[in-house]
Amino acid sequence: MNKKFLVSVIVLIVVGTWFFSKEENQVPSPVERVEVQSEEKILLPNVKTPEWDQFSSRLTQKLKESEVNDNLLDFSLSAEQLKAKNGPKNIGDSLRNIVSTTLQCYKEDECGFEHPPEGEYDDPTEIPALKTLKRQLQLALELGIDIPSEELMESVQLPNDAIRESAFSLLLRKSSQSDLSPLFDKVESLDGKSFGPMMKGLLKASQKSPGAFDELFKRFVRTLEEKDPYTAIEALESFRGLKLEQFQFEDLARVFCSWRQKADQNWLAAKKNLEEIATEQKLSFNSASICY
Amino acid sequence: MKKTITSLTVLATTLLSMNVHADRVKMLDPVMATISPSSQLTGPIFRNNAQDKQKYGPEMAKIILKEAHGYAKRYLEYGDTQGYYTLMVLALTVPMHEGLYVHFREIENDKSACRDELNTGKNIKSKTAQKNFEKAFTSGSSPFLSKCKNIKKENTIRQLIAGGGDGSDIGVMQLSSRWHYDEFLAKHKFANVQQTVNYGLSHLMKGFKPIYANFANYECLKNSDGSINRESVIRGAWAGIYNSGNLGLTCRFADAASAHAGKDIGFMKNLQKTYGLAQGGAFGYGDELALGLDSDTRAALEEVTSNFQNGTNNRAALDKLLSL
Repeated sequence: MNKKFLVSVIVLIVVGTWFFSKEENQVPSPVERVEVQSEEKILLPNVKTPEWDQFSSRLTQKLKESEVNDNLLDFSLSAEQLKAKNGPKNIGDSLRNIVSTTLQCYKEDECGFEHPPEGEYDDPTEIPALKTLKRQLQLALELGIDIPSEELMESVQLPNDAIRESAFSLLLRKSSQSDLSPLFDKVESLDGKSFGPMMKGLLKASQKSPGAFDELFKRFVRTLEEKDPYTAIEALESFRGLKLEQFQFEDLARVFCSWRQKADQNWLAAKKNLEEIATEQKLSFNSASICY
Repeated sequence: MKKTITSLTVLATTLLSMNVHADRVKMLDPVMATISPSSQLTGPIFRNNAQDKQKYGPEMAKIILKEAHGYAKRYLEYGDTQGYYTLMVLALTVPMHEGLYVHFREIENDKSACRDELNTGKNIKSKTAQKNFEKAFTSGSSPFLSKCKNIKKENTIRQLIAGGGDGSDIGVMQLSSRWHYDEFLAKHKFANVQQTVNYGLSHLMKGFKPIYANFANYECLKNSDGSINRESVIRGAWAGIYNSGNLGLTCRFADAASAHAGKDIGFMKNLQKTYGLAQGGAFGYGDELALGLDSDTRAALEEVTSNFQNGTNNRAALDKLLSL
C-alpha cells in the first residue's frame, strides 16, 4: 500500500512537472513582438532640467512674462497648436524676440552653458540655446513668420546643421535675385553636411535669371575645389533636380579629376554621383575624356 | 520497484530543473533597471537559457545587420565594398561593446536583481541627465520603469540596460540621458530594440561619414603609405563623436597616454571579437553572454567580417538575410 502510494505521488509529481513545463513553453518566445504605442501619440515633453532652467532664466530676464512666450518655449506644442492658442501676430512678435534674445546670449557666453569636465561627453552643437534656436526657426518656417535678415545671416553660420538650413530657407524665401550673391558669400565659407543643400537652394533660386545662375554656378565650382572631400561628396549627394548644360556639368565633374588619379573611396563616391546626375539630366559623362 | 522509484525521481528532478530559468547573468545585475509589467516592449528579450539564447542571437544579429545595411548601402552603390564592410563591422561592434548585445532581459524575480537606484535614476551624476531620465522613465500615470515594491508579486521581471557607471546610459547602444533626450528618450525609442539600434547608428554616422571621407586630415587614420587604415576609421568613429561628442577627439585612440586609453583598448578588444566571427568565434560579449546563431545568420556574420578582413565581397548569405 505504501509502495503504491509512493508510486502514485511520484507519478503525480512527474505529470505535474510535465504540465508545468508545457505551460512555461507557452511563455512568449524571446522574439515576442508587442505593438508599441504609436509615435504620433507621444508629444515631446517640455524639457525642464537644470541646464534648461538656467537657460530659461537667462532668457526670461530679457523677455516679458507672457503665455505666448511660455508656449513657444514648450517643446510639446506643435506649430498648429501654437497658432490656435495664440494667434499668428502674437506668435510672430514673441518668436522674433526669443530668436533675438537667444542669439545675443549665445554670442555672449553660450547663454551660460556649463560644459562637462574635460574628457566627458560634450556636444557643443546640442546645447539648450542651439536647440531653442532650432525650434524657433523651424516654427518660423512652418508658420511663415518673418525673421530679420541680419539674425538669419548670423544663424546660417552657427554650428548646427538644422539651424543653418532653417535660417537659410527663411532667408531664401524673402530674397530677391540681387540678394543671392551676399547670401552666397555667407554659405561658401561653410563646411559639412548643410553646405550642399544650401548651395543647391541658391543655385535653384538663381535659375529664374539665366545670367545670375551662370555666374553663381561658376563661383560654386571654384568654391567646391577648395572644400574637403566630405563637404564635396555631401554637396554632390544633394545635387539632383538642378538643370545643367553639358559644359556646366563637365566643369563640375572636373573638380573631381584629382580624385580620379588616387582612385580611392572618395573618387568612387564622386563618380557614382556624377553618373547619377548625368543620367537624370540626360547628359553624357566620361571621366577619361573630361579628366584628360 | 526501487529502480522504478529512483528513475521516476531522477526524471522528476530533471524536468523540474528544466522548468526554471538558468541562473541569470550576474555581471548584468548592476546595470539593469526594472521595467513595469504593463510597459509594452518591441523586440527580442534576452533570457539566460540555451533554448532562448539560440533564438535571441539571430534576432539581435538580424536587427543590427538590417539597420546597419540601411546606412551602409550607399557605399555599396558607389562600388566601395570595403567602405560598406567597414561600416558593417563598426555597427556590429558598437552594440556589443556598449550594451553586450543586451537591451531587454527577463529573469526570475528572486528579489535580489531589482535595484531601485537604477529604477529611479537616483545615482545619476548630471542633474540634467537625471531630470531627463525621470521624465522618460519614472513620471506619469504609467511609468516605463517600476519600483521594486511594485513588482514583488511578479514571477518574472523584465529589465532594460542602464549603464554608464551611474545608470544614465540607456539601452544596447548606451545613449546618454543627458544628450539624447529629444529624439530618443522623449520619443520612447528605448521601448523598441530596432528603433534604439537605428537611432544609435544614426549617431554613429555623424562621426563615421566625415572621418571616412576626410581620413587624409587625420594622421591616425592613415597607413604609412598615406592610404586609409579602415580599422583605425572604426576605432576613430567610436572614440570621436560616439564616445566623446567631438570629431576633434577622433585620434584619441592612438594616444596611449590619453586618460581614456583604457576605454579605447576595451573597444579594440571587442572589435577583435567581431573579427573572430570570421574564424567561427562566438557571437556575444563573452562566455556567459555568448549567443546562439542559426547557420544562416552565422554565415551572414562570417561574410561581413571575412570580407572586411580579406578585402573580398562574398555576400550570398548576407543578401539572403537582408531580403527576409
